Amino acid sequence: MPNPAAHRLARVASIVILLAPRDFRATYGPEIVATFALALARECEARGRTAMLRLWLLGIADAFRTVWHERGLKSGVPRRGALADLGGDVRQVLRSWRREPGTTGVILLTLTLTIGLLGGVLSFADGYLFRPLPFPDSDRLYRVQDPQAQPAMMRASEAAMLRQSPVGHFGFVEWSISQRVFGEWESNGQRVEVFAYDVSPGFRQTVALPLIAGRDFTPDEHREGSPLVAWLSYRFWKRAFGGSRDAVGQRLLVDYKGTMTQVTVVGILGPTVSSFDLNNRPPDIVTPGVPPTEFGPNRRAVPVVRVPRNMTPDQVAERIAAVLQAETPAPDGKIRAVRLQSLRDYQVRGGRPTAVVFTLGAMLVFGLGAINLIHLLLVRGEARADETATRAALGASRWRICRLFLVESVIMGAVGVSLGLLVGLGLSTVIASQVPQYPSSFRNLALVPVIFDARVMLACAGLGGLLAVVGAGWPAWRSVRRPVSWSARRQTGAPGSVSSRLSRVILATEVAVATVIMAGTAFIGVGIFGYLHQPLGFDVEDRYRIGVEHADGSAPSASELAQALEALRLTPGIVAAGPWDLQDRGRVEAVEGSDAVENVSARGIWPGHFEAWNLRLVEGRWFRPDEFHEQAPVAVVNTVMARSLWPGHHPLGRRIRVADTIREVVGVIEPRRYMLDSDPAPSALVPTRETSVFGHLMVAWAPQVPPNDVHHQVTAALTPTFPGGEIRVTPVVFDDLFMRSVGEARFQVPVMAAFGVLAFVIAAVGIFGVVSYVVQRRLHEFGIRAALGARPRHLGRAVIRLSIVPSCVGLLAGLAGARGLESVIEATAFGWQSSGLGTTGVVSVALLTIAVTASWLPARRAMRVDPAIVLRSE
Amino acid sequence: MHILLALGADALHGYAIMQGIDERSGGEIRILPGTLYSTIKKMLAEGLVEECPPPRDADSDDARRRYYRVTKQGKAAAQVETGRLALLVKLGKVFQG
Repeated sequence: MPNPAAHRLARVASIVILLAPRDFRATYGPEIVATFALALARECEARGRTAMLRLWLLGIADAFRTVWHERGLKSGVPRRGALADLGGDVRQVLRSWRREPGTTGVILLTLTLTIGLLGGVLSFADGYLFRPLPFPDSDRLYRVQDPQAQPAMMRASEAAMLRQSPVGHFGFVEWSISQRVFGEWESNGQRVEVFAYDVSPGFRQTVALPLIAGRDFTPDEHREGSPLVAWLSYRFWKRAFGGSRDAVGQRLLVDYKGTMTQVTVVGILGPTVSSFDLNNRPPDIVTPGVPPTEFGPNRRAVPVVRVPRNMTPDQVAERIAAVLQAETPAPDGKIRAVRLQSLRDYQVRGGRPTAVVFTLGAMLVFGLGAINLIHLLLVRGEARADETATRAALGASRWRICRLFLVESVIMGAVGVSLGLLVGLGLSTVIASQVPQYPSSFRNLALVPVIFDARVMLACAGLGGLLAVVGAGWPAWRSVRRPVSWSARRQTGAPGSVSSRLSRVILATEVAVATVIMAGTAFIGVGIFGYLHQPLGFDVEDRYRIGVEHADGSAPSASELAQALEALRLTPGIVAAGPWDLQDRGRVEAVEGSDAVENVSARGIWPGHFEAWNLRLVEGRWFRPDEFHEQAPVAVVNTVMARSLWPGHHPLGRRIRVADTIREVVGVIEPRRYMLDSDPAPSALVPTRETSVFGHLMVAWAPQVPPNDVHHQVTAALTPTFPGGEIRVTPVVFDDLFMRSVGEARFQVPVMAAFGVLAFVIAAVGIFGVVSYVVQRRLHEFGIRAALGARPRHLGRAVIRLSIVPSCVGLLAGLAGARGLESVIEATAFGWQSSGLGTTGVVSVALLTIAVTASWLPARRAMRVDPAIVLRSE
Repeated sequence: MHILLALGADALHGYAIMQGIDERSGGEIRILPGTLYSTIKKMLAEGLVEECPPPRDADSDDARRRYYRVTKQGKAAAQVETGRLALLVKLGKVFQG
């Protein structure tokens, strides 16, 4: 099977072969690349992508060795030309690294971490920002919407009609949660939940989903009663089948509500396919859907069409609207219209904001690392001034002097980028495992998979290589611009050094960039913290969700659940128990003293619910036990309702009408949150004993009881009511309760924290490096000042001032930059809160602390300078 | 020597030689494309192998590649080397006591 990634990787070898002698290159170059591509493809097929990458690295090294050999350098015979004695330069570079392991280590570590972070982030962001969808002509795929409906989705019956109409050749295919398979299957003794999606007939012809193995569904397989077949999603295939190609043809036994259903695997989806549903997690398997013959009036669909090359989306929309107008005109006489939404926009819309924030952060960290690196290389270049002067004196040409710096940049770039790509691969794997599978605020980050592919590697390698070349190019240019003679050095005392002004500019720039990163991280972090710690109106800790089923799998009756609640309340350790949820009682019909009564919901509450969840009473009282009946003339409202309907007035004593009964407001509670990303709605609670719409879940509050004990006690208490039945006791967890609200926030936190920490570390290292260098340059001056009577603390203060002043300038510039980015980030970042002066103050103090701390060691060196030693060395 | 053994009596292209060495050595010896073609170039210069037209049953992709076969000189060199190694193995049996 052709492997485009293998071919792209092999082409890198052709760049290396360009260095080989012309005759060898012409005769064997294309064949080396073709053979390499074949070997990589075979390795990928046999042993996987990691083994292919390993072989690629070995192959590139082999290509360099071959070039070396062919150039005759291995024989040690010097050749004329630009690459003469290249080995000597390599040995010189390695010797200098051994002499300065600390600086070399810092340089490589900076390059590795920044490239690694960039690679990990780009593997997530590429799919949302740059990479097209993995289908041929994906820019011609559109979702069909009905802008006149609320929500803007077509009726399923109309989508089915369009499929059979003269415009049916556009596709009108669907991807929806499976109506045939949903359950668990057993693998190696473990039960694994299987989440399935259906596709309508012709889906693969329209969307061209890539399969790495297997075949498309046949038309017969879309018929009711046909043997069930499925494609495995790439992730499920890797997880459940270990990535074995033998999965095709295997049978899964899926437990669907107690019935075992056999599913035959006929294909494996490619790694670039995740899902097309904004509202749910990606599937494990995809099955052929059976087109329904009857549709409920409210059943909706969003079919996908492929716009032909000879038509525009507007033309297709007109044709579809014309068919709808002819077949199903609007009852109110409006002309039917459709809207086509690009499938790519739909897929990436949710993740794009996070991708923008992450990419911006990674580029800023890369920029910070680049500034650091360039300064370190400049300083190192200047430290070699003696060596450069000696080589020039012995007859080395400018090219030979430059070449040493360039050789160092190539080696440094190769090592740093290679290590960085490994770090990036690891980070990408971690990011992929942390992507939330459920949407938050209708942003689904799982629709586009995280892929660390050749595009990402080339982008990182390109940036890393550019940085290495620029970082070496500047000192190389400085060294050849004025190679310094010994006599000149003696006169100036500080030959061709990096000027103080340049060092201060570099320091200020580092602090500015670090401030932007840390301020952005802090603002987003504070915002996310606030988001995740909003008042909920109830307690989560020590709560247990209890679900019950009879032995035959049937749900319990309402009266049985009422008995179960009584039994739970008598169980030792359980303080309160009640129904899990509230009962829907429609709308509040009328409100005394207010006309604004639209959309205020009324909920019925059973005894025990209030206590079990510890709902917060703000004013007044809760219902008495004798008030729990349908006509009780009492109600409790939440503060949202109180503020919106009776602003500035006490709500207690006000009258409202619910379910044709006038009720007096006796209490006000904090609103209970069901979602973190939307404000609670106004609502009223009325007491009820109605059991007909109870639901089958209960909540129990058992403080200071180990979960295992709760499980045993609850099971023992409920078994008499449900002999042989299933009793499930699950501790309530905040993230499970707000599963559709916390995903994106939790995902952003560790990545933003990594940005902040890296920025902190790189800035600290950078400030230390700059200040150390400046102190080293001015040691002579400090020696003279000490000889003339300056006290050590004066010298120390002078050094601290060296870093504080440019740091303050950088800090101000950075805070201005963070404010400048505010409008961009606020629109995209999840929890951005920029109004916190406290947060700004903390960031400023942190950076100034770095500036002072990083200057401390160089300051001590200046304070301990011995004038006699410094002056004698001249 | 591995290249000569992989070629044997056949005419093969570069990738097939690589595969042949890998399979014959059970994956123990792996020769990468750069080293392979550099060695083939040297062996061509020494007359141990020669280029030849693709076999009749080569498919269209394979027919575009260059094929190599062992020359008489190459066979003779392989025989001498095999004999030398066989003698070494025989002499080395004393260490396998």
